[in-house]
Amino acid sequence: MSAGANPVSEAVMDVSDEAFWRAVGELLDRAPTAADLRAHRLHLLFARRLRLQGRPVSDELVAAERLAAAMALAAEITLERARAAYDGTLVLMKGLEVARRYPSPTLRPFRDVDLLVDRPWEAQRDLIAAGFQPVGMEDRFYEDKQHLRPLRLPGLPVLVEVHRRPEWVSWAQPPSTAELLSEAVGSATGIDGVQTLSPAHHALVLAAHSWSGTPFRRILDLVDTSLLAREADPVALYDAARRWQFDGVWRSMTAAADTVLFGARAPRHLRLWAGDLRATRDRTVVRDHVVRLLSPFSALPPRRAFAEAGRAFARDLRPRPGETWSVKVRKVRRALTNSSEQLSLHDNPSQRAIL
Amino acid sequence: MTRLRLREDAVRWREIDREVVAVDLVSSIYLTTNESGVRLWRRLADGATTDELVDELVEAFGIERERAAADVQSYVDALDARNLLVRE
Repeated sequence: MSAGANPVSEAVMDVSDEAFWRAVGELLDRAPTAADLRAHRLHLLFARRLRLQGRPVSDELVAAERLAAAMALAAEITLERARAAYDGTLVLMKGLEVARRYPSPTLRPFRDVDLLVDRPWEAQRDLIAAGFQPVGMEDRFYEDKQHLRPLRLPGLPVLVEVHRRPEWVSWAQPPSTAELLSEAVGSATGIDGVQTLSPAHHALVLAAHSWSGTPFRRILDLVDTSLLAREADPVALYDAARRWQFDGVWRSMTAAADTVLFGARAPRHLRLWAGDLRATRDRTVVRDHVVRLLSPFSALPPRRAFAEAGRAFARDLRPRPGETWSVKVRKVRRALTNSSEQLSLHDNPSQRAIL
Repeated sequence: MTRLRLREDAVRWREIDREVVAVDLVSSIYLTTNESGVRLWRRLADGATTDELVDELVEAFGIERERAAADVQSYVDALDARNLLVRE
């Protein structure tokens, strides 16, 4: 692959592991508050850094560390039991797998065990027969979603999501599950029979998951995608990105990581969000709406970006599936009232009490 | 002399900053233990006699042997109540 195939600087791909984690550490040091780091899901790394620097760790962070350790244990148990229950291909994606790339697997928070499988309904049935219990909304709520109804083992806090396909951007078809499974590799969890996506595929799936939620919402997403991209064959990565109509997003994500971690100058189209990420600040409600609506311009040619932004605006105005108009109106009113509030407080008002 | 050992099939654990966080796999109950508990937990993971556990506390914290023995007994009783120990 020639260097010209990707127009961004890619410091994030080229530096040593030591330099990569040093850059993450420096980013933690310049965050305004622990609450901002929690919003970016970097608070567990921050707690570790405080200890390494001999500084005190707050009770809230200690509690978060305990919870993360318990979740990591529960996730491993859950995954082992899922593996034992289903005899088909089982590919672990996202949180639990990515956490193995961190200095310790308890430093990367997660809530779910995300599994991509060859026969989703059969896997779901087998897991339920083995004692997993359905939770969340009714089955029909998940009919159009990328995963089936979440499951949980009684007594354990971790959810299992059996995916029929990866989450993807709205303007392109997701990559085929068969292709993703065909290039799967052994999982870093070391659990027999559990696989994970190839690093190139995993980096792109993580980026798509981040982008299809709220683009550039969390620095954790940039760390995750960078870690997988650094393991990947660059030829395979950029080839898949192009085939999956994802190269624009991928360039933006890589540029974002370079800007946030290594101080590279942000391209013009990314400057809207770069301030919040570079300063490790939580985004405000109004900025989040603006970034979401304008994010297609960071990933698509102008004409397609206008069309996609229009569709995103229309989606934003309508209630979500299962949501009534009265709920939607209440949410809009609340968003307008709290437009200058930090997004994490807006989404989780209970955090006001603990931050 | 009888050696005590944590049951590998009954408990999963991880150490974080001088604490142990563990999951009792039978009851799905989460357990945490303090700094002195961590020392005992580590020894029990490898297998240890009661005397060795008492030695551990005496050496680490400079406390009297009698008090260390009482602490060890109380700790072992708590783990026994959850059926987390085997005797070899």
